[in-house]
Amino acid sequence: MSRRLVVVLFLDLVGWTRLAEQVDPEPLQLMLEQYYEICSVAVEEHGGSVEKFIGDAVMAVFGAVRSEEDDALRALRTAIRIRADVATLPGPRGAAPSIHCGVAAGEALVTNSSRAGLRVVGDVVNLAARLQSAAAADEIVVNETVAHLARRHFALAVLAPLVLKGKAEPVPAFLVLGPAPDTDPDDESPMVDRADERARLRAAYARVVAGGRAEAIAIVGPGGIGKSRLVREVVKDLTDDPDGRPAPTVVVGECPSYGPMDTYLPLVRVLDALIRESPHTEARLARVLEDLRTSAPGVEEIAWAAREVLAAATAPLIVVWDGLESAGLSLLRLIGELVGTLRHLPLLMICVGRPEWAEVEPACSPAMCDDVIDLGALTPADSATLTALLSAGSVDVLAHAVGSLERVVSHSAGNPLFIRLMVESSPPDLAVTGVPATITAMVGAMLDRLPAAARQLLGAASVIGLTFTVDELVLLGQPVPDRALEPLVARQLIRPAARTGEYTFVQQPVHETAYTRLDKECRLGWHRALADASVSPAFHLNAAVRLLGDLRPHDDELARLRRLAASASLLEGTTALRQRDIPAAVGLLGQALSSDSDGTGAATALRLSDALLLDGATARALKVVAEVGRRSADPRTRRACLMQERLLAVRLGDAEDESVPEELAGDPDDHLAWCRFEQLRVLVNLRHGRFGAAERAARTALAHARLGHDSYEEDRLLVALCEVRQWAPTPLREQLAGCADLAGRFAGDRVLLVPVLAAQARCLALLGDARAARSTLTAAGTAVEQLRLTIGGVLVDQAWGLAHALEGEHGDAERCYRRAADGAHRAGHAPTALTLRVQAARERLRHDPTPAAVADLAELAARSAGMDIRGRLLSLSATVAAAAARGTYDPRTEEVMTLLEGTDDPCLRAEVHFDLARSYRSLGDDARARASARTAIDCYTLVGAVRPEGAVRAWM
Amino acid sequence: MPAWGMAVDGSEPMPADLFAGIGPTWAWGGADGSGVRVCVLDSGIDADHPLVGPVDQAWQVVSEDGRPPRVRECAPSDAAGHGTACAGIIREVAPKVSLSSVRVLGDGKSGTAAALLAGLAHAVDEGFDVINMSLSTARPEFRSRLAELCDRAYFRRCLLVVAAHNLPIESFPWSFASVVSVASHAEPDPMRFYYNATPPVEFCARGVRVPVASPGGGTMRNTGNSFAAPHIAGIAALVLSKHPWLTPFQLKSVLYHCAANVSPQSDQGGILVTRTPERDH
Repeated sequence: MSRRLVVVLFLDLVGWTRLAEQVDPEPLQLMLEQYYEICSVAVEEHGGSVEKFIGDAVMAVFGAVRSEEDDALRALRTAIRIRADVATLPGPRGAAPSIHCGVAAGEALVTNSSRAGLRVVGDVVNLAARLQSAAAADEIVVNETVAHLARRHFALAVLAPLVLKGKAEPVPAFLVLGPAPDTDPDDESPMVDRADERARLRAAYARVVAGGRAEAIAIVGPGGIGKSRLVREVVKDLTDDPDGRPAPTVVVGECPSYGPMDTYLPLVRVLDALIRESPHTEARLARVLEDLRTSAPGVEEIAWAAREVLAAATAPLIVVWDGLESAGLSLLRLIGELVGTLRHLPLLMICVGRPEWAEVEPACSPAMCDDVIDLGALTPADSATLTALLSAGSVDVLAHAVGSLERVVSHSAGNPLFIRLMVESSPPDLAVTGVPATITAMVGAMLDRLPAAARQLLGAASVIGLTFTVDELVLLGQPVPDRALEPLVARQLIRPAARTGEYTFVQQPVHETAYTRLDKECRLGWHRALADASVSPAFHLNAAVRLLGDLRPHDDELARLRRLAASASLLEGTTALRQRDIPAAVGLLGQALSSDSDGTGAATALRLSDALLLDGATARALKVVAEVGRRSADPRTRRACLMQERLLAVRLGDAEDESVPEELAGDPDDHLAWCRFEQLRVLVNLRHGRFGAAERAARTALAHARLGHDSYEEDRLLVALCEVRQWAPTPLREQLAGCADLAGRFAGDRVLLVPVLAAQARCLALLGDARAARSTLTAAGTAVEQLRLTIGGVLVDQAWGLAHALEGEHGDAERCYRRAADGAHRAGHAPTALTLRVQAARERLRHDPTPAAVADLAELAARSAGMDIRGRLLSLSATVAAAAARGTYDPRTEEVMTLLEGTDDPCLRAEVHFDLARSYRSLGDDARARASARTAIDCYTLVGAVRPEGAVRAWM
Repeated sequence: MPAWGMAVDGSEPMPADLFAGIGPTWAWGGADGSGVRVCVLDSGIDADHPLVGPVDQAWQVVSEDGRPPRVRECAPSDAAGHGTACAGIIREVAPKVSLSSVRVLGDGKSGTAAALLAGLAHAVDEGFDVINMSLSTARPEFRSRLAELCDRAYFRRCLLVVAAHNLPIESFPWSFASVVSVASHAEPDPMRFYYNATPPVEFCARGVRVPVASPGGGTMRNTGNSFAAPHIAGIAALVLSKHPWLTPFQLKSVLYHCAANVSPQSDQGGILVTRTPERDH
């Protein structure tokens, strides 16, 4: 049983019912017998199978047992042949009967049982029957897929879309006009690269001509890689521009991939062509050739004739044998023999075949040639060029978006034919979706030519993924004996990956076709087995949910499977979120949410909301929690979502409500909701400069996270705590210990580590250990540089600013603060950027107390409405101090005092009080100056900031 | 990675210290693009997209068989989405610019050379300050006509910002000296751009997995030099809104001095045009 691309042919006799009414059954029966005979023979000769005869109707299928890449062409040729043959039947009433015919290609499930024989189940069967009803006498009507598969070989006319019984949408249909005139196969496809291979072939020809000695070169590569094209280009080169050498006589013998087994057909073609060149053929030779056409003479006679004809050529000769993977062994032996016995002739034999050719006996394999060219994939750059050239086609002007170019390049894996087929299926802007039927047909044929065991392994591998291991195959009950994968590697379907036992599909269309060919029950079982063994559980469980939903939407198991899929997606989504792989996190968490909105709802919704927020999609971050909160029946999920909604509102500056909601107060164990609520409090307190309260809220939130065993929340909060604590009235020694703890915890993740290091450096600088502070900041700076961190850079520059300022290096401090401000501005943190500019301006004033520096500060102070409390305080107090230095009392001193009431950041308070102290001294009020300086010292002492404390004492 | 990007490290010393005062702060600090008229020559602009905002004027090139193409006013819409994506980037960089559209591409992100020539001539005649062209033609027969138009723009103080082709093939007009040609870098910063010392591409701006306006109102990520050019167009508009007297020649020089790899701080009186190798994102 397998799903596959099949081509279904329906035909019947025109006017049969009327005929049956008017004519006796005996002559009718006679005609039917002849008609059946015509149909059976035509179908079988073209490689199809007749599924059934019903009265005068015939249904035949191509590709059901074994796919060929030209199944659609075979079906059309069959129809045309039957049409012609039926027209020669003597009709019972004189006039010859005629047929009408419908052909459709599409995916179907093919089963073969001893009782029912071959059965083809799928919409494509009904479609073919409907197309046949729509066809008039002598017409062949085909669906879009057949038209696409056949359009290079048949002339087609577009019909008005057919409105068919049982089809919601009109179906595009095409009328077959007849075989298309032969077109130059290279017309539409530019040649890209292959310069090396061309040069090798040209050089071989040059040697043959110069030395008068025969050579054979094999060209081996998978279908569509451009072997025949390469040979055509080289032959064209040599004919058009022989480079001073005589132009070659070129003859081609192509092995047909199907048809009656005719070993010597390519040889007959080659010899015929040569004899046309030199018509004076000996009589005996002529007879052997005649025999070759009608019956098989002995192999010795054939070899002799071939030698004679080849030797009689007057110009240097190039003989191309193409499609040798389909050649009979006798022909291959003969070619090998000719190479060996005609060494004295100026003859270049180019032997072309797919990798399967190498599997015959060594004496007849590519190794029998003097040189083997392995034609590999185009490089991605060449693939992209070819894609663009093909898709530009006849277009003058093209936009410079890459669009799905990348998809074409990656899916085609450097196979020029795949590229052309993909581009053709979607011109001109390459909105490529899925694998075009032309490629499915090619790949399907390739798969059917595989040994059964290898095909089975490839199917199992496709369920595992683009990359798979031998162990995983064994897990699926597919033993992998030694060398079992070799046929797949030899055909370039898979290749060994980096690790031992690991393989990867070379071309995505091969993977997709191998996967879609498996019936869904089998896929379902394998996906579940992989998930059970913990191989990418989220991926495989979600695939299993989809498949079970398709197969048995009412299965009780479905709900359980959904829950499993949801929790696996949550787990992997959270990991991605921690790694800041935001697109993956959004995808996985979104999947978790849609699989199961109740079970894991709250945590999933909150984390998805976090991921969206990190991605800048604020509106969607809000919408997710609002929707889940509204939909969920679970009060805790609803509460957690509500808290997140409120938290986001605070973050966006829309609200500041920090009262405990009633429903939350009643459930002290709802840790997730409490945790987010405390985070809200952290934010509100931070905004108002109440850093002690913010730190307490962060600690409470952390406690809830730990009680809820939620390590995701815990990590988030530890980072937040480290950040908040810097400004809180917590002793620096304690802060430093906390930083050391965290630095250990985040050692492996430098993005999280950088803020910790910045905080640590700040503590060290305030404690007076300038050297340690510098070395910490240097380490953090390296991480910022290497990982190109914006916010991390701001934090590090800010800490550098403080470190320099404490050492009296105000010029350096100014530069660092400015750089931090620029970074904060670029990252969109406007208030922070302003505060940092204020700090820069303050430092400038310290080393460059010019009117320009004062004006700079005044300009900033005028924008204090857009600042956080730190910026407002620092700009105001510096302005006040600058005015005092000029002997003027600035009445905004009162405003500074009021603002000071609002914050508990000891270092900030100390800095501002010190500003005030200096102002008072400038204005001659020594008592107040000393009082302010003492308050500053007290503030510093509170946290143990000995370095700035010393500076104040020295000033006093 | 789209083609025509700069080599990972070139090392041509450039005397930049003479212009130490010219940098991003001087060039666009505090600027928002107001007063500058930018035209997007593309597939149209969807004025209803929230990331794009108002479209001041919109035209389309109408081609009828046997008649020369004509430029007519039309509703600001965009079936292909490419022009809207470009316009959204310009709006992001320079929020207050006046955006207009001349539609020269069809629904399939492709169009005729006749429409391109007619549309470009119209935009130049309309006197736009900046024209963004995230497209090109590879047909040599249109080369000289396009070059004439680009020269005309250059002398009329109209800066053409043109995306380089995504593939290593020749096409026009991005390869002309009269325009500012832009290829991609893979970093996520919209304001960061590099000067490329190896012609024909002059600047590299963000162009890989850029979040752009997608049809229907949302955003999606897209890659291509198409999306690098509008970043430079937006930055050029910022500069012009602060220094409206700059000619295209001067503006290009200002952009050079503001590039992330050009800095007056150097021990040789010049700078090294170098880049650290990109991490693959």
